[in-house]
Amino acid sequence: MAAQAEVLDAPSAQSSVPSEVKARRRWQLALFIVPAFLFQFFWGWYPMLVALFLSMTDAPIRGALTWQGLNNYNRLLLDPLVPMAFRITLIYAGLSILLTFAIPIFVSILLMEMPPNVMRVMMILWFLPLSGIASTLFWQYLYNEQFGLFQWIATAVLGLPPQSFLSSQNWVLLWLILPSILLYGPGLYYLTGLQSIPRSYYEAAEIEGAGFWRKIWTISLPRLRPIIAMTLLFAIIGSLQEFTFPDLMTRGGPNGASRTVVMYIMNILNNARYGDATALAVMLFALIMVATLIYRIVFKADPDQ
Amino acid sequence: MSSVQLENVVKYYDSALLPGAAPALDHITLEIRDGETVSVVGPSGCGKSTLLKTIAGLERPDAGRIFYNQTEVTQIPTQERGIGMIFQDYALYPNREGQGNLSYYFEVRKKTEEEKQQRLKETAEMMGIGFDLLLSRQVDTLSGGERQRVGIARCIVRDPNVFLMDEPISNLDAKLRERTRVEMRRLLSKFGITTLYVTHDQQEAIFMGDRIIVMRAGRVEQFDSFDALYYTPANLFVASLIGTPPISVLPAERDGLTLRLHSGDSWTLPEALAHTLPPGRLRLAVRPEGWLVALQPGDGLALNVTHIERLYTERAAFAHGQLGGAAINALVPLDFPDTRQVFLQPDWERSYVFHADNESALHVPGVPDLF
Repeated sequence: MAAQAEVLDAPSAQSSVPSEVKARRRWQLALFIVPAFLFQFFWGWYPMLVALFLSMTDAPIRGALTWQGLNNYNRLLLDPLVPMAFRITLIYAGLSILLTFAIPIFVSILLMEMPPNVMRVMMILWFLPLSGIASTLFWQYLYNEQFGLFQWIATAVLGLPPQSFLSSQNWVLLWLILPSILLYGPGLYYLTGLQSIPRSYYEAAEIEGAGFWRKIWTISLPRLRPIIAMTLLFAIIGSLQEFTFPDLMTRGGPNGASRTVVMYIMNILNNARYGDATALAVMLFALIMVATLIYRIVFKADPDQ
Repeated sequence: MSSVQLENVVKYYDSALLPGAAPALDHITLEIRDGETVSVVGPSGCGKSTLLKTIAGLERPDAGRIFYNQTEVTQIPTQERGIGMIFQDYALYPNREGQGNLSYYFEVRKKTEEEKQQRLKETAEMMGIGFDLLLSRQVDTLSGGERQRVGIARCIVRDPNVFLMDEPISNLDAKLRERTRVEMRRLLSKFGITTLYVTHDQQEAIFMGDRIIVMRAGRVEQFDSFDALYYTPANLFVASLIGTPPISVLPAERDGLTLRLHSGDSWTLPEALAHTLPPGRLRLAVRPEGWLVALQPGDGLALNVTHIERLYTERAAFAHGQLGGAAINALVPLDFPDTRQVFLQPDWERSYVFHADNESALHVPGVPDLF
């Protein structure tokens, strides 16, 4: 920083270089900042403020706005489907963080113990650029109650009675999350993080007699901490906004048992209740904000830094 | 305390299992005496780190046997061998302060609190003044030199039989490196622990080691004291690795008493020396102090001096130039006049002659008898 400041101050220190040079530098600096600022403003802050405003109007698609105050929020709070959607979203987020965030850490650690070739193949498999639609269709087939592979395994191989899979109100969320273990994996981040840990750390611990688990606990996890912190935050934010996959797989069924908040917002939008939809979006925003804040408090800044 | 012996140790890496691949360690046989500090020096990839890891038990040899104090340890896991290892990148445990790094071993081995405190106290005393202060600090806030002190203490705290150091100070800056190696030498002679010290820096190897192992391509080229390596190198590789400025190597051809360089110039060999050498192609090697330098043409060949490097602290100077296709640095007195040309002749008693093909030594000066 000191060196940078020196460079910036250097022209002003020389009397032969007039102040317009300094002014030009400011102008150049602004050139770098303004695009980022504009982008952030028009795609971030401005829509947020407008949404907050629209959520208190009837937000018709044409014609004049009518001020509604908190009426939209009142209506949503009386709608029993809203708390249901939030409950489902929270369960979905909790389960998917547990499975798609934590499992890859341990899979990555185990992969590191494999021969380098096996590891490389696994990394490629993990991150094959799969088409979202194609894999969704594939999973629809797997879960199909008449011809699906899982049904065949359940009945023909395991000898169980026919399973209901996605049409089971109790289990639908678990079945929906299962694919994301394979489709979404922060595993590559973990693997690169693990690869950047010098071997000597493990060798030092081995000499002292540390076993497999102790090495993970005292070396791998502490060194992965910054990566874990980042992926956890993304997992929280992403899973609370889940929409595409459950929408394609179940359309929210059966009986709304897999209808997340964003899917319900979509439903309301389809009924042309734009004010209510915006109000629900603001409520979801508040939830994500609170979750992020809790995360920030629990997962304090890296003590190493 | 213990001695370390290796018997025909061979080590291949997985990636080198292709036919014709060279082993990382190629039939290494050597003995390190109890309490001795031995440096291992060689170019990168010569297998010196592999040698260290194999002795440590971090790598298992594919053939051969390893003994500590005449007890075979080849199949004994590394944590039961009682060794301490120091790494180039220190490898201190992250997210722990200095003390936590030292007590790791006691936690792993489930030792009692009293034993731990006792050893920590003894170690802090041994490490010297100011060491306690490092113990309470987070590893990330320590400087390179401080980290390495904690690294050394981490090994000492568990009272190792053998100390293994893998380029322990090459990550430090030049000034700190100088200071740290003096400090390490002091500590090592205090502990009296058998030590193997791997480095790529010959100066460091000379300074740290009672004896030096010179390695190339998985083989031990020579294992001896510095004087023996310097005055009686086994081959041209050892001769050119040891000594600064490096030895000058001149390809030559002997015909009777005449030694002809590639440039066509020639010197007359003394009769006694000429009889010990085969006729034909040879390699003449001369160290900076092995030249007879004259200002007048006599028996010497003309060397066009590019510059004279005067080292006032060493009370010496070097005349640099090219002769017979080789770079020459001839030692001259500090007050040697500035000149564009000198006349050189090897001091035959102090020069080296090597076989042209297999580079083995044909004539070496021999260790001078100083007393």
